[in-house]
Amino acid sequence: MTFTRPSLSAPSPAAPKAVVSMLRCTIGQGQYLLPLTKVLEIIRYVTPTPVPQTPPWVSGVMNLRGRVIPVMDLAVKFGEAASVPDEWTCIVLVDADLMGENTILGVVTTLVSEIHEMQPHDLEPPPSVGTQIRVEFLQGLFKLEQGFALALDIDRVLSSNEQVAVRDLATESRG
Amino acid sequence: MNDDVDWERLRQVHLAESEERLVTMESAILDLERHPESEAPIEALQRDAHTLKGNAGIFGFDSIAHLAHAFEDALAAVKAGIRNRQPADKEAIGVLLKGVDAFRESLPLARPGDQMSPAQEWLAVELRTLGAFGAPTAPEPAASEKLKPRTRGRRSSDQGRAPNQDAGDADTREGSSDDSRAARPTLRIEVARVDSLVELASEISVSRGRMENLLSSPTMPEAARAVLEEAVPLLGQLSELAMRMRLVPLGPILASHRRTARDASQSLGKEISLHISGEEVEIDLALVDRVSEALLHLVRNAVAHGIEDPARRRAIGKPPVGRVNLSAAPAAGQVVIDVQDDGGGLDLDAIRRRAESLGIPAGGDDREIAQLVFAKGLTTAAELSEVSGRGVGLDSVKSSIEALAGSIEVHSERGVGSLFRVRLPLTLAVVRGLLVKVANHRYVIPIDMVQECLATPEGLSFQANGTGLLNLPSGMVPVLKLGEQILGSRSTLNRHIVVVEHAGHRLGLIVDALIGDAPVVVKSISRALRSATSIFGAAILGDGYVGLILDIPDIMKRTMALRAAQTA
Repeated sequence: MTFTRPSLSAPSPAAPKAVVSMLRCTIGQGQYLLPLTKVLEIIRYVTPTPVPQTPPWVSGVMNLRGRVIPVMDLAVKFGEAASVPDEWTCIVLVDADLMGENTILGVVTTLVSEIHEMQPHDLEPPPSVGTQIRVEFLQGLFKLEQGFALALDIDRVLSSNEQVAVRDLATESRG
Repeated sequence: MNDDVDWERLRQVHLAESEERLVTMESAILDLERHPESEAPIEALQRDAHTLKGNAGIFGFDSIAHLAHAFEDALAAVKAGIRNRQPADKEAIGVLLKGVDAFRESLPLARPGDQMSPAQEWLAVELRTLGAFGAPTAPEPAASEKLKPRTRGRRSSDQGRAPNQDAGDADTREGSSDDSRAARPTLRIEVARVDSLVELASEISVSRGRMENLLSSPTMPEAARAVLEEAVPLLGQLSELAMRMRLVPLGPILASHRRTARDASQSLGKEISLHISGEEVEIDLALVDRVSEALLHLVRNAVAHGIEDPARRRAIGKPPVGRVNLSAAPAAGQVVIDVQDDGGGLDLDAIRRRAESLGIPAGGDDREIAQLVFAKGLTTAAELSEVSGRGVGLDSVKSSIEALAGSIEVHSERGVGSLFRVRLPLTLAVVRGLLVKVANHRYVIPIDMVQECLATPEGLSFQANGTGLLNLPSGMVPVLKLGEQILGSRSTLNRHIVVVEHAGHRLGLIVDALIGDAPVVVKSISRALRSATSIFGAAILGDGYVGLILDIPDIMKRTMALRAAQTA
């Protein structure tokens, strides 16, 4: 799979060390950014095997070349309806740190858009009032030409056992 | 050349080898305890101690080398004593066992050129004291030979000669006198490597499934068919061989519990002889630690609560030395481990009273009452002694064995003794499974637990909670709609019943369709899904689909809870 290079923000002349690569994708209705260092692979959607007695945002488990990998539908976790897979639906495999334990998890994405290379200051702090957002799950807001993308602290999101109410901000950010 | 040697790796190999050696040494000391006039165990110990010392020398572990030297002195003294008709006494056995413990503790911490710690110094003195008073005659020349500073000196003087060659020399020197070790050449392999081989083999078995499907296709070209027909069974053998690589003999695990029995009997003032059989039976490496822990509890339990005091045994006409048998045997895809004692047996009346006071239903025949010892909280406070429990009861033994897809039951006869029988799957890596379909998903039921399959009889009635009773020629069997009650599926057809049996209970699982049976490789489900229940693991099926393996004991528990709630 190929990605388009960043086109939105002009490349900054600052030291290349500070540049963070983020993968922008759509989960449910919202735009999100995942740190590229966490992304192992992006694969075409396969229907996972449902696992009984798991939270509603667990789609199930899938076979990744002989390994059994849990797949999460974060749209449900963010308070939206479950993702309806179409030809653009992908599973982003992330290397998640679940309370000190490294685990490969699949995240269902409606659409994988592009990679943004950004400076830490390109991220704005998430607003702490006026939304239901759980600030600890976000690293910040990234301004797009239209609306926002939310940079996720993916380890925290995947570790938490509750529904994360980011719906308001996520749908708002669609612009 | 010498600098290329991976010392850390060598050290790891040495550590693993030494651990095995220490278990052998422990067994020899316990042999000596039983036959205090026999020189054979001492000779075996001398060879092992000498190897320990030699290996410590190669690595430059001075503390270990000195300790081993003191240990050799003690052995020489005990041997000389035996030759003078002074059998090895309890004190000597105790000090020698302490020596083994000290090696076990110190080896992982040893560093080149290190000094003995004060505790090690003290033990060395104790070992030598055994030599000073117990040996009127001159000790053996081999043991009295001064510990030469050959440690790093040798390493530098033998440049160009790999140190593992040195170790090899030591082994061949002893090979002539130690047949058992020479008989089967072995190779040490990291578990991680074997695991990647098993992983690969499971992927191969998936491709093999696809090839098998291809073979049944009519459009298959003849040449390709010939190749596939050759490859499919070979790949099958390859997978099976890879799976078997994870199996290890139970011998060392069983042997390590001779020490358990000894320590427990000493602290309780009882006399025990432990008899071990089935050392050659193999078990999956993944089970080893948990099995050993369960056996630790069962052996302690047999000594503490099974075997009577020597005085009481004499009074009722039993030999004063209690007998505990620890035996392993293979049985149809399973391993059976028995811990049997010739003690007083279970006090069924006390168990019944205790169960009733805890509100646990205590009906049924004696056999069923006996199984209540595994109920939570049943172990009485009076029974919680240092030896048998540290507060860990038989209930936790049971749950840890069930977590390994095994079972445990007890047979007991008043005054004659008790038998705790543990059944474990041969391996957790491969399960022969019955594939069933529920609401378009495929599930695996371990075939060892399947008793029979039948079509759902018309007119079988169900309670609102999805349970019912099925009348079979062999008796009434509770049944459960698997899809609705356990798997959370809707629109099921419920056409077939799979009757499973586990730990003396039966349950009919109602499924939509039976697909067939196949060996499947068990994959654990990620900790990320730890809330999942009723699932033992996952398996990659022939077409790459992930099928869940059902946890039958858990489903039985849930069914019982459902039925209890309905009658309440």
